[in-house]
Amino acid sequence: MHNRRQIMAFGLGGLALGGATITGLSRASAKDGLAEHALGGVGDLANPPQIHSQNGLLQTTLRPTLAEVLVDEQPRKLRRYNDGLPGPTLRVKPGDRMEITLENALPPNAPPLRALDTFPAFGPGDICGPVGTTHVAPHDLNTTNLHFHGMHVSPKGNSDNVFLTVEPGSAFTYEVQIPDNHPIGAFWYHPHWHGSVAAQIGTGMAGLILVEPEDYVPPGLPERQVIIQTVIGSDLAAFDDPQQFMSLQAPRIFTLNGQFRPTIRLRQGERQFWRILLANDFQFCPLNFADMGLRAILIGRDGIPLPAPKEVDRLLLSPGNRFDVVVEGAQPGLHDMVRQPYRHGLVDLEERIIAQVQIEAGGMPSDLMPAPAATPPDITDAEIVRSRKVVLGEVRDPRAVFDLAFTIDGQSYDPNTWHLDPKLNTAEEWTFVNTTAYPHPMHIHINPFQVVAINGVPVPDRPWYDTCVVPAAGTLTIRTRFEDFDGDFVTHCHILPHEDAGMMMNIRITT
Amino acid sequence: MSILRLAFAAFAVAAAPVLAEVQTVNAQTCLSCHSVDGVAHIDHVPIIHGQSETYLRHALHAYKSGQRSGGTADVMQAVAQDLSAAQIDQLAAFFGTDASIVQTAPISHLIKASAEGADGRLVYLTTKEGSARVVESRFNGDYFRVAPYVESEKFLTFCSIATMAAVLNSFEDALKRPIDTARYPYPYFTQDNIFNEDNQQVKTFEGVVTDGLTLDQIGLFLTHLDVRPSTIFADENSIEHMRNAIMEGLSDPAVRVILNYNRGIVGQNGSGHVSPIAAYHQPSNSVLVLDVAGYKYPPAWIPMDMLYKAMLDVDTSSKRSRGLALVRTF
Ligand SMILES: [Cu+2]
Repeated sequence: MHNRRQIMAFGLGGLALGGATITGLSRASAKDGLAEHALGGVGDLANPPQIHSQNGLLQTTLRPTLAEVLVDEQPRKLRRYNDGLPGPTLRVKPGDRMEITLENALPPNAPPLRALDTFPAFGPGDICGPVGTTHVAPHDLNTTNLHFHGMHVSPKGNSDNVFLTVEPGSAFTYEVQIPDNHPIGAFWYHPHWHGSVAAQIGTGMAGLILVEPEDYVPPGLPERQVIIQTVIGSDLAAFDDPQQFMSLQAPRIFTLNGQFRPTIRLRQGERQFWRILLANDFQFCPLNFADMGLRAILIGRDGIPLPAPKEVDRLLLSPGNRFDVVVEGAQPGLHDMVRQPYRHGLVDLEERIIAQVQIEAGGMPSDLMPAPAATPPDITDAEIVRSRKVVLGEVRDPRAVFDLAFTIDGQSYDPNTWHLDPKLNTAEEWTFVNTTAYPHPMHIHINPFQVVAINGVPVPDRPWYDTCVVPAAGTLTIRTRFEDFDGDFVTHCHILPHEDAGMMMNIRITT
Repeated sequence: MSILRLAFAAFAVAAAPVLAEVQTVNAQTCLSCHSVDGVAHIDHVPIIHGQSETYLRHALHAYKSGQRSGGTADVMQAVAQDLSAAQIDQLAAFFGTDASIVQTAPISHLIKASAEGADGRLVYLTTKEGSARVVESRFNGDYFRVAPYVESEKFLTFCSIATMAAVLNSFEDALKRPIDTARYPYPYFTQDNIFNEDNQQVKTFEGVVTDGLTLDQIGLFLTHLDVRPSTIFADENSIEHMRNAIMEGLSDPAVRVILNYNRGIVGQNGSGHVSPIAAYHQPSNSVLVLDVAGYKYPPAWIPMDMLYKAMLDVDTSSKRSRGLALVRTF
């Protein structure tokens, strides 16, 4: 049965139903970076479905639904875009426009988990969301919106505006103009409605966005998308229980392109171009390429090309990070792809086999690489107009799950505070100061940043990221340019239960 | 509020109203990063417990004023800038001890301090009298079984978890123990793997870090760890019954005895606490408690009448008295 709102919504979204459907000027992928190379078939990890822009426009519908799906051979409750785990990969070029209708087909929200009248100390100012809960606890888990993570686009209006609300049964059309000089690399889309972010990404809502010119990937170099997700793997009744999904210790199932422990194939000497995305809510994922029998050449981090390719053995993936890596089969054999052990503050996360890499002997050596692409110029001392400290903390708060809320500069998220107020076309240096015993991968929307120091120790190559970890009881110093776009957006911890528990702050770029 | 949160009420810098508490820094905040058991948990974070009080006070003032800043000092600067001089004094007094005594003999200092509080009625195992009682005791088997497995709690609220780990490890191969990756291939209970799936349903790791476990919750945890627990609440039983339960538990090699008491009542610093009982000494009518907060106190012989009062204390979390959990292998 549909209520009036839902009927309206389907009316709006009616022009495009289902993800891979050919709509308007965009088309579902005929050209898959693996299929051309006889990869991604039976016994090999396939890429997600793709939607390409055509004639400068990517027009499609993303339609999240809640359904029971077999993940690790067990039924799990997932929220997915267009019935895919992950959602379809969007392929666009600099200068293109994206016109994406978000059609929220999730079920109506459950009643609030804690009645507000049990907390008489809190007034209406503490309330956010239509049903009256707070900024430090999850609520309205089926209300959603869209964020274009890492993209350098306008945060206003119906562009990358995370302050929008799309209720269950309604629809909204986003229009995102990608600038001509947009960095070349990998980005992603996911929901960003404060209060339901952890629940929605933790149950599967995410998809890759690739921004690149024509002929960026040379023919002969198979492009493999590796989208790592960690969906909540509890019994079905508990999948939406905040006591569970807000916890680091919750059961989480690692999937690659939605597959549980898949096999990835390549031949010795051959190269593949891996677009790795950690599209998850909580756990870090350090990878060791040498252990997988691979040689790895890093060419981009968080959608920003490196000035020159760089050989790497290991990469630390924080929730939200992307790494563009050209890999080469080095050691023939069957190797485990392992999420390496990680010391998460005071908690040791154990190693976990997440996939296998099968390297067959006798390939044809290749030296193919994607086309070179521009790195933004280093942010110099002279450019810095202001230095700030941004203090990350935690507080006891009875409104929060586990009575623990998170803060930035001493306050949990307040939609009406705007004290981070840089000027357009300036650059600033920010030091995130972490007063907690846990690492926080901090993400800043709209503009990438350059890491200049960790715990006060300079980082020599000053890598670009949009999400980088602030060590437990440590500091991260970054520089960022506020270019092209004024308007309002946010910085927050990409451990999404921390974000929903208050670790987010508004930023306003003024002209 | 439960077993160990109370331990810090005395040191919390501002008192109770919920919203005010949110603004305060208390000792527990410090301990989330600084070691509680003499082992550094975060690489660059120093151990402050037992540092000189004077040093700690000066350091906190230097952070507060910005004299110490840059790099990781920014973290302490952010923490210290809102502390008043009085709060700094309180924290320095809590973590610090008089430097001269620490340099000579930290343990005897602690014994001295606590013995004074208890009017000398506690006898620590590290004294001549304390070790003599172990030899004399006819109920000392559990001391030799359990003592080798006692490790300090890794958080201040983990006394129950550290106690369960010690007690369960003491059953050795009579109990199926999990294999911890860091100790592969040897089976061993750690303060992490006590949290199996069933126990996380009872209370999560973070939940226990926040406010520990009640006696009932300890019982529930144990049922999920392949042993049979029975909980005995002091307010429902006489002192004789409690003593008999302890003696019977200590006499049976298949049984271990866990104590939940208020250590403030026996004259030690703190309040709600959990530790294994290791022996009973008839001539002095006292019970040997193997303290899992070994960084704070060595094992102590506690007179039975005093211990009973400490078990009658009401746990504000459960609103019930404290008592014993007897643990039996199948
Ligand atoms: Cu965080």
